[in-house]
Amino acid sequence: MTGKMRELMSWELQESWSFPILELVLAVSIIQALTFQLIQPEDANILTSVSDPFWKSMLFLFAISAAVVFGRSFGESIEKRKMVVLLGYPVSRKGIFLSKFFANLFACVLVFGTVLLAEGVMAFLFEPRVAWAPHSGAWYSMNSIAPAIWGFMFLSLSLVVFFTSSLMSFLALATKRFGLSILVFLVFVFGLEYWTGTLSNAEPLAYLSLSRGPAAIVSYLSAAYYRTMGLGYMGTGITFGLFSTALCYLLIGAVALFVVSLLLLQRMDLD
Amino acid sequence: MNLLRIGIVTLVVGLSLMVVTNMRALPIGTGLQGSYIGMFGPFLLEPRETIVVLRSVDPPTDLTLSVINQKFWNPNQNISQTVTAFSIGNLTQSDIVIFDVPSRGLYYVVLSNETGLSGQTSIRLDQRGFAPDLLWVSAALLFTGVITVAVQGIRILKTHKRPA
Repeated sequence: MTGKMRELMSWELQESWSFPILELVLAVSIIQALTFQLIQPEDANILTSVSDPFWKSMLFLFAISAAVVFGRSFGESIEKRKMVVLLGYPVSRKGIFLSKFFANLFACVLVFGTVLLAEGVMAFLFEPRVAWAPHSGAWYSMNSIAPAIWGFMFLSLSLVVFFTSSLMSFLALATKRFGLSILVFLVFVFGLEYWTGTLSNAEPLAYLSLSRGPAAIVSYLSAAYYRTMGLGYMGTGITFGLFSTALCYLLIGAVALFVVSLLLLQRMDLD
Repeated sequence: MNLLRIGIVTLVVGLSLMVVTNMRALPIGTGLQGSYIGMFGPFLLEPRETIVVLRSVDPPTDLTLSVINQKFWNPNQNISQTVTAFSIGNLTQSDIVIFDVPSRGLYYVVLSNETGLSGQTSIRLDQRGFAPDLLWVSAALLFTGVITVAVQGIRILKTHKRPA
């Protein structure tokens, strides 16, 4: 990474995460994520009592954070002509986009990842439960896959944050307006959430939801890992089709919107 | 990030954890748990009031209830050689035991009689009240945040008052 990029990223972090944005995001995510209740830490219970509620309660926060941070970073900087000032420096448009996007993306993943880490510590996911089963007069221990479930949750979290960041960047650059881009973004995210909420669990389109989709990814990968480790069968109700719908939507959508956003900024007339 | 901002962030984290501590003080229970050998768990227990109700004991006999951290529990070992977090004897059906576990962790609840693990038993385990460890962590963060903000605030005020 060049010195200029590092400088731009540091400037971007100071701008986008200025008081009270970081404080608000931290406070709400701690309150939302750490109030889970778990007393029987079986693997299936971790999915229903820790993973599923995490996605439901954090969706609002992912959406609002992406809307405010990326909306200010791209929409507001075009609207208030800060982008024109930035382009006056000897740095390419690609450099500006990448430094702005990745500085905010890493900051979001860091904040939410830290909260997820705290949740994992509180739920003892890093000290897996040991269950004992009798066999031929002796007792044999079986470790749970709790650390792997946490790993899948972190992967899904990174994916959701990447998707919301790309979507908001695209809308901010397409509309060139902070307020309008936030409005379109929130209507899209919560409209989709409402619509997918009316669909049954067996319909692939239901997994376009930003809360149900990541939960399905974690459940499917956990069940597959459980099987692979020879621990038996874990019924989650998530088939390969439902899992791939959620994964492809988030991954392909995020990459496509990221590329389109980059092209938009490169070809945009800012004068 | 300057020291004032670090202080504000620490204060906000401490305050949020205090809210979390209050919200987590809600009672939580396992419901009725049955075992044909008297071994239950492991349960994720917090250092707050824990209530175990012996719902049924078959055959009816005096039992010892032991709460053992998962790290120290091995059913292949004799229970008398195990380090217990809490233990109480002479229990019969319908008895209620109230205790605090020493620290947050995964615990087995083991019911045993003179000959080893008991027969068919069922229990109900509940937890209620504030978790003091979480309360201490949030209070410490809150205090550190307040002190940092105050010290930095005074330092800024002094700098502004200093004549040019």
